[in-house]
Amino acid sequence: MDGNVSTRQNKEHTILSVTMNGRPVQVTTAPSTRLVDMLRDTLDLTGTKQSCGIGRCGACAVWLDDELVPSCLVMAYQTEGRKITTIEGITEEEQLTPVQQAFLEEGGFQCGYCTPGMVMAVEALLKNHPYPADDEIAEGLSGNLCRCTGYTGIVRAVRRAAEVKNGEDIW
Amino acid sequence: MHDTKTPEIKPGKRTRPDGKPKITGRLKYLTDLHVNGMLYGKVKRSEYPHARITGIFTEKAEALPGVKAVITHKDVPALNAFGIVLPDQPVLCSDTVRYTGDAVAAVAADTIEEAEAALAFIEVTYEPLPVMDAPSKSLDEDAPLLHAGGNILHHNQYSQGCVDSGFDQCSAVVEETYDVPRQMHTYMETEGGVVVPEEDGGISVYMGTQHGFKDRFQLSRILGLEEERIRVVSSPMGGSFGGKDELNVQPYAALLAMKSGYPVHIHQTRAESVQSGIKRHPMKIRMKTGADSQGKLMAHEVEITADTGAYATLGPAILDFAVEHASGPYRIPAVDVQGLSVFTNNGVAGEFRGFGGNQVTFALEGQMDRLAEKLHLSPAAFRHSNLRSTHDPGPLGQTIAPTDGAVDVLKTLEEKPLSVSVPKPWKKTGTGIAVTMHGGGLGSGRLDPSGGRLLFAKDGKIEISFGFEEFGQGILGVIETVVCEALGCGEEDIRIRIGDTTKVPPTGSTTASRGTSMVWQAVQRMKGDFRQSVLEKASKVTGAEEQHLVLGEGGIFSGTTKVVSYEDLAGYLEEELETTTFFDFPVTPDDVDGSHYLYTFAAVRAEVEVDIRTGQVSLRGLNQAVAAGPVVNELGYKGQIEGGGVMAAGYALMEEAEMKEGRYVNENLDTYMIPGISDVPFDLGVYPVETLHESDEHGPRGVGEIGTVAVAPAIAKAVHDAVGLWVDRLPIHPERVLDHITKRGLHPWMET
Amino acid sequence: MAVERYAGSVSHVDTPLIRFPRTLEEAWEKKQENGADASYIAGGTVIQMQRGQGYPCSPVLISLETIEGLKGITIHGDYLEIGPLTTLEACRRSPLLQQHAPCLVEALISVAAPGVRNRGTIGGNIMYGKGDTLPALLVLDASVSFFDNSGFQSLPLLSFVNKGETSPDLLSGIKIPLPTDTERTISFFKKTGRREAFSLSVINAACRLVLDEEKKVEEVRLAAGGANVPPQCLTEAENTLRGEMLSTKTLRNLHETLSASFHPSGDSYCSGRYKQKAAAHLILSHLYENMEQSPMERRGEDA
Repeated sequence: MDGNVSTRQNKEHTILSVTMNGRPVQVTTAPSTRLVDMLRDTLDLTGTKQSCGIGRCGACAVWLDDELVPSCLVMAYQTEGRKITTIEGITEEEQLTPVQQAFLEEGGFQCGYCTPGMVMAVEALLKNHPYPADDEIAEGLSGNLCRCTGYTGIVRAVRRAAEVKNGEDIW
Repeated sequence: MHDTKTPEIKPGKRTRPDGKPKITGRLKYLTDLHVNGMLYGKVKRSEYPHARITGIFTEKAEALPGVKAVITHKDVPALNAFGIVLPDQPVLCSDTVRYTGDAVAAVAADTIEEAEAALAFIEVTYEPLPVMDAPSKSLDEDAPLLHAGGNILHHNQYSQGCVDSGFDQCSAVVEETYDVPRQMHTYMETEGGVVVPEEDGGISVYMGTQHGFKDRFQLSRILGLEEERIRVVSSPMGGSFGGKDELNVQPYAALLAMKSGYPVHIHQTRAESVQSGIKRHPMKIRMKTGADSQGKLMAHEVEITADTGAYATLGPAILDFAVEHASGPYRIPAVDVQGLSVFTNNGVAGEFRGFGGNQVTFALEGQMDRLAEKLHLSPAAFRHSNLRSTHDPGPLGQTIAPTDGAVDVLKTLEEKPLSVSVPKPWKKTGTGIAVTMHGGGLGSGRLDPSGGRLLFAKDGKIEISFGFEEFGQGILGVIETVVCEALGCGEEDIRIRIGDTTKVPPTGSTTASRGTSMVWQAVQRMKGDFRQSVLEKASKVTGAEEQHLVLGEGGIFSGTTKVVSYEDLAGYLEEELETTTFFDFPVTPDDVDGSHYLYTFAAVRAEVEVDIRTGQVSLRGLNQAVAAGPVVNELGYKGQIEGGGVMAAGYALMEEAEMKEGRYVNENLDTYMIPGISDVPFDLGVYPVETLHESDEHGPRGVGEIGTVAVAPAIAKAVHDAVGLWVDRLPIHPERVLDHITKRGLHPWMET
Repeated sequence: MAVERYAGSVSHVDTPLIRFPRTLEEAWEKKQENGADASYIAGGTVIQMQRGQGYPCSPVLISLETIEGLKGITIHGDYLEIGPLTTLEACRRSPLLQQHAPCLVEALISVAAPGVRNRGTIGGNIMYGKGDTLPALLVLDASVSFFDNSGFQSLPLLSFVNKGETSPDLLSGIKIPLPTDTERTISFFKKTGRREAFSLSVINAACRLVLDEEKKVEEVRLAAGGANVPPQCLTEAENTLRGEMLSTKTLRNLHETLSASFHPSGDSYCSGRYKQKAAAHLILSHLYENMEQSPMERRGEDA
């Protein structure tokens, strides 16, 4: 990957090389295109949602190099050479992750619109805190708004997923 | 105790049928749809809350590269107006704008950036007019008229007995004015979708709504297009809560599609949704309520003033609902309720989960708590001695389905233990309760038809169709559960069809907590005939006697043996086997317009912590006992009550779509605050009371709204319990709480 | 694996040009070249939020992300240095900051939410002018090094911030003196918002004080800020505490001084008086918990 970014074209479009859900991808786009638009419109990965456009709701959350980020706050040029994971990339084939299975069984979603971002946030939380305490769950999900569930179903799902991933009964 | 009759429903922890696509991000919402060649549409809305339009100039915008169509009122072929009951809102304004969400023009372009740029090039000139930003201003004698019929949209009233002599008999009277705010639905998916022009000159509208057939009707009269040439695909939605029942951006996408000849996609930004979307009615409610020395309610006088904003939408029905629910589940011999809904230049107020019930319940329960205190009675005891009995009439004196719901929920709640609160420095804790009853369906005298269709299809699927929509409330789960339980088949055997006017029967709107009821009713009505027609066929095909056959999982069974699979049986069909039903939502036999017949009940206990340093109120516990008949789907029921409770906690503690001089102050989610995960306790108690009166055969009720109605007053009372402040205004603002705390001298560093 | 290719639609609308300087000097030059047409961009969270709110973006954006040496937290002798491009989340998780600047970490936890903090930088939070990290940095006696046309300079934090958002100066480092008397140090950052988390600060307050052997206040810093409250040192309040023991009488005096000297302005959400009271109570409550023979200790309550 050519890290010599300053020699790239800075006119209307730039050609980005990114790893998209594990696959090498080249995207031609304006460098200031929002990542959420690049995903939804250019790559037709509509799993990532748009809800507030100012990074205040978490519906657009994806991973950039394994870090949870609001994709409406990221510009396309900032993804050059990096790894992007969206909700479509969390699922291997048709297999659900323990988090997704827990969401299904514990009522962690209703309308489902906040769900992709919420799942990305929960997966990130459990990676950093395999046995999250209540305050860690709250901090980890503080950037993801949900209007339907009142969050209790989501917390149940987080606890259940942690149990399953760690193979023990901790709650 | 009475005998109970529980219909044959076993609550199961079924997962939602639409679950997997939602949690894997594979589900395409209507705003996710990409159609080849589609254009991007943007709507230009009014710059003023009230003005005369003196000119609209679109030439510059039309000339911009990438712009394919620009529309104004001149492009509306037929009726330039919409509104579910009264079409008084222009699709595209021609001479007057009445609020900042009024649409004046719209653009479709190749890219969203070009559409946005083009909006700036549409020039509209205005002559500002005086802004009526409060009902009091609109009611002023000299106020300019917002509509030909005047500035009053609707008034309604109810009285029984004589309140004046009632008050004479009271030893305790409480009078208060309650102020409740404009709340925003804040569905996570904003309005939008795509409209595709079809070869026959018709259109396909892929845009979320809670009533596809009504949207089709409204679009038909706007576009001058027969309904048969309009297809509306209305589901799924990323939330609605009442906000997407009325028409929103569908006409603009339709007009742009018809003018340009291309599909047009519109997806409102949050800021656009804030400006144009309907909101919960702000209301000022004055109540004067009295009880005698025995603690019996004697008289209740209510004056409701609702700010309905610029246009009617469902304003009249919401006022009617508020008037009806103003005395709640209580027996009060003398009642006088006056309600007024007033046009202003504020944002349009309309349908929102609870539908006027939340507002009056906040006031009514506030009265109950104040009276209880005056009479030195506990809040629960005072309520108990005034709750309606099994066969009492409804609040408008109408016959209602007999029910012990009110008593049951309060009793159930009282049996649940209070959580143990650990004392924390600088925090004062408090508890409050509230009770409510909430009518389902649209009310007597309103068109409230419903129905359904069961089909044994050629591919072997049992297809169940309703004209309902899924927006997260869980109707798909309800349908699956009800059908499988009623017929005995498995989840994989059925196919659910909703949300497409070309594929489903009209079954009324997905609103008013009617969905679950209607699904259950329809299936009960259809199951006999359907079963019979399928088993008749099975008998012919297999030779087994019909009376020995039953529908089972995967096929037809005789005893425990499967005699033929559904797929194989379907291979023998010449015609698909269809059973349909049409009926109306149950209403009272009495001639009381707008009144309800089936009610649900909730009793709420809220626990709060008040931070005496900042006046901030934190919700630490929320328990709801709910009487709505049998639980159809456990996860769905729980989810609706928990989610509804938190939405109402937002209403109580932080949500206000504040307007100043006719303009929204908070334009996005950085300043319009909805509860986040840190704002709610991690465990919310939901206690269903499933018993119905022995004579009640109406089955399970919808629980979409009931979880929102009584939460705010319970929280308000909890605040009073904690720090002694009587709350008469929502949202509970920390500044008001802190002012009160300061007066009470609770801080050790204050000079005493 | 074969590379998949995608192309976004071509729009006729101009989009910002991005420049990628390799050094601070180059960044500075590019800013001089373009003047008001150019803005620096680090993580971009503020710029993207403003774009989302409908404000036009500068035609030229000068990315600072390709400049080496601006990330990381290191100890140099008696001070700690934070690179301005260090993300807020990295700062929040830093063991060095947790140990040596706990009130800054408290502030960071209250800024936005983890996803936003993974993109926002501490430099951006400072340059924004109203970031929640500012009051905490002020009480930590933070100074900044920055680049301007005469090379690298140093200034106390507040002086730098008061130069304003449009200043072309480029942050190159944030320096915090390492505390020496940690056993006798009381520090905190408290914020109140419009809800429990992920909210603008209605008002916030930070404090760091060091007690001497006689439990008298030897060193004290108090600062406040908020979404509509410029970060400021509460000097009169500091003077009230200096040399005193933390007693009910001292706290009452502090309360009076704060009421008299701290006048934040109100906004659409609440009055200035509310902000003043809330800030005062947050400060006083924490000091009260740390009072000599605090009544709370005597009662055995948790602080």
